[in-house]
Amino acid sequence: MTADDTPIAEKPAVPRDNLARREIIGGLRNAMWVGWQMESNWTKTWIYFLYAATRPLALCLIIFFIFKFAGNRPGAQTQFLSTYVGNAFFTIFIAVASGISWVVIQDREHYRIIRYIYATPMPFWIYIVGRATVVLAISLVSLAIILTFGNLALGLGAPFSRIDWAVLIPSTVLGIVSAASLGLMFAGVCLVTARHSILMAEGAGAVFLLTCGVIYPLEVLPGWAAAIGKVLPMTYWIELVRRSFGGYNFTPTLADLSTKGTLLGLSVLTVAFALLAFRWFKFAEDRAKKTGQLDMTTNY
Amino acid sequence: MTLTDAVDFNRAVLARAYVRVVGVNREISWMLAEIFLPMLSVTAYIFLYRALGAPKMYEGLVVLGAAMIPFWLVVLWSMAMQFYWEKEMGNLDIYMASPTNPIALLLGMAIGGLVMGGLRSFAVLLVGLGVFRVELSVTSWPALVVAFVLTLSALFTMGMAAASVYFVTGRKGIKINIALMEPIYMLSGMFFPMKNMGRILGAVASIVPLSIGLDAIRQVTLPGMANLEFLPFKVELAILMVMTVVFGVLALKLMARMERKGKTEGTLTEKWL
Repeated sequence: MTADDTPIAEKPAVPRDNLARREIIGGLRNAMWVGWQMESNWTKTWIYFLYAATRPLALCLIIFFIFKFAGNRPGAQTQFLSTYVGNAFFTIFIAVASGISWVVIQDREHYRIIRYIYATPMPFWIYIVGRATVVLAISLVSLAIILTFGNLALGLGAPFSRIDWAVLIPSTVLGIVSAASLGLMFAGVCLVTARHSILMAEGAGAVFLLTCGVIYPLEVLPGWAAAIGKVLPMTYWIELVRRSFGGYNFTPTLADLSTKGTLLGLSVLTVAFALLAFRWFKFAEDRAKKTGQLDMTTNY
Repeated sequence: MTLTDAVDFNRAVLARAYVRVVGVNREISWMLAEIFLPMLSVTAYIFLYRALGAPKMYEGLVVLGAAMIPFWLVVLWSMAMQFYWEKEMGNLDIYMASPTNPIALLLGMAIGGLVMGGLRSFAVLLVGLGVFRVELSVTSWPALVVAFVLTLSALFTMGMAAASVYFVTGRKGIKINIALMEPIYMLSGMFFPMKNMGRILGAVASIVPLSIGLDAIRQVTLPGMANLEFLPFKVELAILMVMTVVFGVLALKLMARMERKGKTEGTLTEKWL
């Protein structure tokens, strides 16, 4: 008798914890595979990476041409470095936050498979994390392309050897968690709303670009908008990223904060954002199930 | 074409335009999003110019660029991509089974799209003028009207030509469209003068009617732009005229060819690929 012929009742029981772990890891792996296929299987891998870098690279080139046009004054080079780097890292935020919420729209409205995912043993949020991991990996490759291009072609002046990795790595990890939390919040909203949510992530991205001082100092904003920016983790993430590239004093009101203090503040805000996002998502998911909105199709 | 055919053609044009004008504007959330989303990014660029201590005129340059974004979005997502959406929703085979001519559908989409884009563009201009107090000074209204009309005609005929290509593309179409958003904002100099890109990149950018059109419109609305022109105003008008004719002819030829290809290869009814 082979192992496969063993009656189920006689098979040794798998401890529940192991089963859950196996389901989570397997689910995560499968979600990543599906995510990668959905993103890229329409073309060759290298073309896909070029495609993925095109959009963020264009945004950075817009910044470059604006500086070339209007940034001819002393100190403009440092300001360009801070603006370019801030904008480059912000593209990760946009990719992760909108990528996560887009999962709901795509799977519910377009491919109409959301109910089948719920019919598997894997929790839906694990599936979302798997899909987001792919988006994150792609956006990190894009980021590397943008920074290399900036250094080689645009005179950015930010060689990798001069980066303060001790600041860059933890702040970017926290920034990515913040972005993912925000994406999870959007995904929750998408679960309980109709097609209007398609534009929500993009709109929110623009609001964050506006209020977090990504491409200009917070001081340029009206007081109320700057106040909003000061309670958002992305503001501190981008500030720390700039510092790791040597861009200090870009935003005078944040310049007084020590790097350690800023990192601590970012950690607190990130944890708060993550807890809030997870609770909101569970609430929205529960509500979507109760009201039958989970697999509604509202005209893709 | 017989009289009956002509009547049917016109009815199809009007019917398709009706859906675009009434149907799309009924969805208030999309309408607001299409007005305010470009405005939010544009605001960011205005603040960037302020941070750089740039003259006020540069903000006008940004607002004018932003006012053209709705037209580009309409051409990209609601003209070029439209047959893809129709295919995904199962409408394309219904069109094919009706006596409708695809060219009539394209014209209807273009007319409806012009109204749709026009409303959004007007709103963006109002916000720009009202909130940011940008100053536009039209040096010649007839010149502005001609530049604007030629820009839109070149842009929409380009959308019609592109639509026939999307007729046979699958998921690739969406990806191409996504890749044509910010890169076209960059190439068309929406937030900075096109001349700033240099001659080589500028020449590449000139393939997009929006680039040349926007440069022409800026020349007659921002007097301070006179020394920042990419090409002389009249040359830009001539290019736009040529583009309209070329893209128009291309649209007619490509549509017939792609329709036949789609029918032969059976791609007109496929979904999710």
